[in-house]
Amino acid sequence: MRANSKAVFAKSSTIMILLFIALFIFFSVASRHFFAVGNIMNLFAQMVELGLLTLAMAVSMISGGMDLSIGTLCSFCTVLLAIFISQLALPAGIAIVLVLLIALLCGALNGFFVGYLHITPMLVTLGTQSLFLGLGLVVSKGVTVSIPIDQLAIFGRYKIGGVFPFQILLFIAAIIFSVILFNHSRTGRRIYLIGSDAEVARFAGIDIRNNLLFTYVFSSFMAFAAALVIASRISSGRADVASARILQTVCAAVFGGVSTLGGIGTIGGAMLGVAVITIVSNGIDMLQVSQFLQQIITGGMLLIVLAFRHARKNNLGIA
Amino acid sequence: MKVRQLFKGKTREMILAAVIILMGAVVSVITPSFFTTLNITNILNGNAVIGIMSVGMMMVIVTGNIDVSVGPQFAIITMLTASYAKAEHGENVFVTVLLGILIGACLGLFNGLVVAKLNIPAIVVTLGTMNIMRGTLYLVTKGHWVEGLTGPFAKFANARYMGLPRSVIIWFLVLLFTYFILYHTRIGRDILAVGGNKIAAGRIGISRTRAYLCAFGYLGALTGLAAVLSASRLKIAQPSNGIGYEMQLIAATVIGGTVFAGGVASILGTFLGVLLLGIINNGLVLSKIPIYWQDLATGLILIIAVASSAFQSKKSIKIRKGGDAK
Repeated sequence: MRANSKAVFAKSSTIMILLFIALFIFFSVASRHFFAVGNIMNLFAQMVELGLLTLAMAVSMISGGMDLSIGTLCSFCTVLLAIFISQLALPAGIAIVLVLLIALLCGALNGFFVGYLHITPMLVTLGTQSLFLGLGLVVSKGVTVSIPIDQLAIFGRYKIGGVFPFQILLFIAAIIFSVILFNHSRTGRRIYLIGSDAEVARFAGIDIRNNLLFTYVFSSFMAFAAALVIASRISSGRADVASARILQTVCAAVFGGVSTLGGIGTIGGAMLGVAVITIVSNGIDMLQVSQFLQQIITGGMLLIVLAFRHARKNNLGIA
Repeated sequence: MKVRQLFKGKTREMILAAVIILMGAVVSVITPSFFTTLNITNILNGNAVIGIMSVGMMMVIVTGNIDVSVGPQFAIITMLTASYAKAEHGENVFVTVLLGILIGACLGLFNGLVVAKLNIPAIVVTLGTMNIMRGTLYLVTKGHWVEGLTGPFAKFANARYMGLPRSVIIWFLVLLFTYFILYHTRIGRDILAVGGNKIAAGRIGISRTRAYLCAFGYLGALTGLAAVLSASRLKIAQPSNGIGYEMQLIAATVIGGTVFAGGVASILGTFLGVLLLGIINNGLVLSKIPIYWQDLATGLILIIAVASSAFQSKKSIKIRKGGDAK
């Protein structure tokens, strides 16, 4: 069964790569604006924010839960960054460290409820989602807080040689870090096992509580990283800036083969999901078609991919 | 004796009611305008739409599923029924209501069918249909509103009996009807059984597909009913209606004590959950606290509610284990 499921998901990532290439060729032919250095760089830069948030979502899904709070946590972090830098006039470095600590604390709160109190992750994070949104609104008094234009520029606006957006490097580092941690380390294997069957994991002597705590702290770290990029790109912080991204992250992770039931899927797969969703969004922009069509296509692709995967799962006889 | 039996196993509802009374008392002290017939009626009227839908969401959660596509469903139905009512100049209210319920039931049944037949987690399926529905709605309507509703339709939801608006009365009727279905019909028992243990229910011949279809269809139908009431009450429909409703519904249901894993329902609790969130929002407004504290309060209450139910279920497991030992 192990080998089978591995084969299935190896195949599903091949399909995602093929889909990405097909979409790439299609948009290059269909729009003359698509295949240009500027736009290709832009395409990759667009992947970064969704990608970092999807990393956060994917690891929580792998552990058998779903972290709905990353969107508002990320927004809350942008607000804090803006407040610390512009209103309290802290140096950017100190502000970043402080916000990072607060973000990790928020993640630990989620992890504590999920790991130590055994509450359904979706419910915990539904609550904290609202909580972080509220905190962000209260701290910012409901308005957009701007950051001086010369601060934080490197994370979202700096281009190496004027061409290559710096945040792509940041993103690649985050992916490598996550892949090593989750797909090539003992901690990662433990979290996968907890995700596929917590009871078995418990009998295997795995410390479920702390591993789950770690998962949600990791999640909050990635949300913080996304906040850095967003706050830098828009030079401001707003309490709902990333809250709508949450659905896209789930779509991306599921596209990439991460199961909502936990224990299945890889970080790399989830990133392929991000690539496909971003290319659809970018390509549709380039074709100057309605953004709403993009929503329909994303939803439709989600159902079709799932139906296919379901059919193949049945053929291989794994539940 | 009888009274004690009535409250047996209703600890959670009692606690909720106590919290609501306490909160009401606090707000009444802060602002005298809270505890007036007008304001109480307003709270009920303002939450009737969420209240009606949350009972449907409870049904779906009882089967161990979830439906996050209720927001767009709601928007689609408000748009369609409002357009229809406008074309008919608000006549044929009955047909409009029926139309709303039917469209809703169809949308819900589609979700239920996909979840049951493809065996994919409901959250992922409804996430997909949510995107499709909302996108289609924007694409077709191009973001335009339907407004200027007149005639009997515009008066439908606001008509009052004994001081209570019709939407509130319909809400109460829906609660009673759901109680009847869930505890006094075969399909209700089947839904509870499937939610409690899918495999066991399957072994004794209960159709999982049928239970799922009924639960999702019921949620859809209630969403339709609520959407018509909303269009009639506000006399306007817009494609952005219902954004974020799914979270509010889930929050209210879970605060009310319905178990997320399925199999346990609480109609009274769901009602009280909606009421609690409604009173908080209303109290914050009346106490002149900035509106952005609302989300913070909602989040805190939800966390406290789920944490307390986690402790409660731990206790009940201990009691059960103790009983076995004897």
